[in-house]
Amino acid sequence: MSWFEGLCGTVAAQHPSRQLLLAALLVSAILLTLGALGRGLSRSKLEAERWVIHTFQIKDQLMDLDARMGEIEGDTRGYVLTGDPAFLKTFDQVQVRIASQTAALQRLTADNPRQSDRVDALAQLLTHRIEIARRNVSLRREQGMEAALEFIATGEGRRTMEAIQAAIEELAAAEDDLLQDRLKALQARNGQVAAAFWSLLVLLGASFLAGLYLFQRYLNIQRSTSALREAAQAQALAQLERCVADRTEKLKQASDQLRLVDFSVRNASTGMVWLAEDGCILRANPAYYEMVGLAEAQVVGSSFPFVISRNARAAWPGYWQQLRQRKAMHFEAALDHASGRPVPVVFDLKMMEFDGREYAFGFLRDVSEQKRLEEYHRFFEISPDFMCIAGFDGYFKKLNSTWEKILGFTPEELKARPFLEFIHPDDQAATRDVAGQLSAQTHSLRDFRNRYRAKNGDYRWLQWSAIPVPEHQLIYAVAVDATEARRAEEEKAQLNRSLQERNEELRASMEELEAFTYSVSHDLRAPLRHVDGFSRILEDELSSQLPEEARHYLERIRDGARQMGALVDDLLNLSRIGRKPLDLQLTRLDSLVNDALRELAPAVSGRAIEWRVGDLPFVECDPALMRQVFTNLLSNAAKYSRPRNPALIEVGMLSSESGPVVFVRDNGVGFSMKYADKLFGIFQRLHRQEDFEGTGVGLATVQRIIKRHGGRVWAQAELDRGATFFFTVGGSLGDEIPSFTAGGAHA
Amino acid sequence: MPDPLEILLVEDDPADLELTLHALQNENIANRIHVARDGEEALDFLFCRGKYADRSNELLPSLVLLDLKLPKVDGMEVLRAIRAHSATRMIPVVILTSSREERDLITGYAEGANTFIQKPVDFDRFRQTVRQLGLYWLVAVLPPRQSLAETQP
Repeated sequence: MSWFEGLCGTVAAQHPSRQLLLAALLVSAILLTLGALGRGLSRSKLEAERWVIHTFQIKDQLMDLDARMGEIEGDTRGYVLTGDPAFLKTFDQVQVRIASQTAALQRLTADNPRQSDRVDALAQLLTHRIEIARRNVSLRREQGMEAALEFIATGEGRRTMEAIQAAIEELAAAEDDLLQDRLKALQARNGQVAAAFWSLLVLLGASFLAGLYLFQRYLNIQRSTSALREAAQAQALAQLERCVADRTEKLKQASDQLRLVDFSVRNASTGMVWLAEDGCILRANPAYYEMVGLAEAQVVGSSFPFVISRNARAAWPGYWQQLRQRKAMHFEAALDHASGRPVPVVFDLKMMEFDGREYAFGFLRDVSEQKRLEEYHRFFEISPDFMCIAGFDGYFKKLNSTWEKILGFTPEELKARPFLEFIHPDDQAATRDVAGQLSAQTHSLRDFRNRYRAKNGDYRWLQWSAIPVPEHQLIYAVAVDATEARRAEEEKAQLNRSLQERNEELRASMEELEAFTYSVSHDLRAPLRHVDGFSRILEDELSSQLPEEARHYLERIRDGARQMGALVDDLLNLSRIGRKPLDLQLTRLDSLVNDALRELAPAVSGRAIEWRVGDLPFVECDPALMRQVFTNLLSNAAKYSRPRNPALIEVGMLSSESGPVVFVRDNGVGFSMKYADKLFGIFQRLHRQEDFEGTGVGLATVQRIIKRHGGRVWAQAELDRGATFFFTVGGSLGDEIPSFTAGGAHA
Repeated sequence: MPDPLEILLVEDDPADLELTLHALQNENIANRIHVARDGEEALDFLFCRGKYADRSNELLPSLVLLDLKLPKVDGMEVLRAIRAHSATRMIPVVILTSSREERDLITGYAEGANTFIQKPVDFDRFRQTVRQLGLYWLVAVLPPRQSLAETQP
């Protein structure tokens, strides 16, 4: 079986598809063979059938013959019996029939000589019988029934019939045997064929299985290849899908980006504007509309210069030209807001080509904030004071230019070291404390002074205001150069000290003066008292002995003493006014006038005086001193109006622009305004002592008191017509004498 | 019973003294006047010590006319001393002085002076004042002296 193995090997070595092909070929071959065999089988089956049919045909014919013969016999008999021609109706037909059948038989058995012979034999018999039958018939016809019956009785017919039947049987049997033989032969052949068929079928099966196996393998390979292909396909598909997804993603991203861009343009805080070639606004973004305070409808389509500030409008054509030439422009101009206020804007314009058309695209940035910040920044930088930002960590963070200008250190130098190092050693502790406090609190520092070292070694005084910002750990501070101020202060302090010394001296002098005054009031009066006293005693006790002259002189002595006493009293009073602190109370001047009048009453008793006291205001004053004022003025008024009958003395109030003015008016002898400036001088008198007594201190006292109240006193008079004294309390009138809204200076 | 002592006049200036005595005499005031020339003498007299150690302490003046400017012991001191001692506390004291200083006035009254009078330069007025004083303190006003004598054991 080595060839088989060899064959198998060869086959096995083939490519699966070829193997399969071979297998297929084999199968086909087998199938063809099987088919042939099958056909063979079926043919033999057909043949068998044919023979069977053949045999049956023969037998059928035979039987039919038999039947016919029987018919004939029957008919003959019938005729014979009946003589009815009806029985002979079919006689000829049958005869013909038999003939044809016989012919058929002969034909059918032509292939077998023995059978043919038998058929021939049979045919003869048949013919014989038929002849008999005829004879019968003719006998009957011709001779009648008996003849016929006789003839029949001979039995020739029967014997022939029996021979026919035997021949038929023989034929049939022979035919059956032949059939059997043929069938057997066929069967044997069939068996072979069947065996071959079945073995081939088995082989077919085997090869079919092999084929299936191969097919399986092929399929596997195919499957794997197809799996590979599928995988590859799947991969490719997946890749394609990825590609598509990727592309879709990219598209989405692009779309998103576009939407983002659009969104951004809409929501940007910078203004954007697109201009056409002719300078008309194609599109702008909401930030732009806001900037100019107009709606989209008003802006789009309008010519760009339309919304530039009127001031800049003239410059626009130039800018536009430059833009088209240079393709990009950057400049600052002002846009007019719809409300009219200008908006400082930085323009960034660029020409670009898109889809074959030229456009100008611009960014417009509102720089008002920036300008403001610039202002602040400039302010910080150029401020002549020291401005700085320092950290809680003790270092300068930011300094303006003043530091370098005045101290000579650069900002870098100042920032490199803790700021305490630049401070005078004596001030460092205090500065440290203050800085520490600032770090801990949130309220500001004011008017803190320390000394900073300049580069040349000098120290300058700085006076600080600072505020901490704890969230940023910073201190914002500004200092003024207080060196000069400090110098001035020191000078002032020096002056103050010397002033104080002077004051001390003055006070000492005043105290001395007071002590002096005090003792004067005792010591001066005492001798005066003595002079007066003893003169009086002298007068009293020795008046009878004294001549007229002596008495006169004594009077003079007494007068002198009294006069001096009055003077001393007045002087003391005057001096006291200057020293005593003002006891200010809200006082009704009327009450003071009444007090003064009461005091005067004894001096003016018996005289006809018409007092007119008007409403006087409440003023803040020292009542005791103010009472003196009225006492003095009223006693003066009374004194100098002594010649009048009645004397008219009026006290009242006038309104002026600068406040109320009190006046005391009399219709006395008055004085000449020529000497008005002497009026308030100490010891200055405008009348003779013998006419009108007085020390000349009264008005000086009044003036001193009024001055101490911050007021002014002045007088207006006319010789022999009377005098009016005016004064104010509090407020300052300067050097002007106010005009009055009612009343004149002097009635 | 010895003559009642009416007035203790404390005055250092001789001229003032003479004038005052003159005024007092002229006005018919009881003539029991004791004069002390300075504060120390006044106190010695009142408290029966020093020069007057052997004076009977029952004899206390009904009125003290006190000048302020005194040598040795100042008038205000004398006043304080008078007011400090229960024996003399209730004696009416009239300050009779040249000074019209507010300071003295206030202190005088604060220290317990009954009256404060400025000696006027005009003698007529002085006489009038003294007369009024006498009439007032010695005649019109009930002295505390009697009640003192009564209450004292």
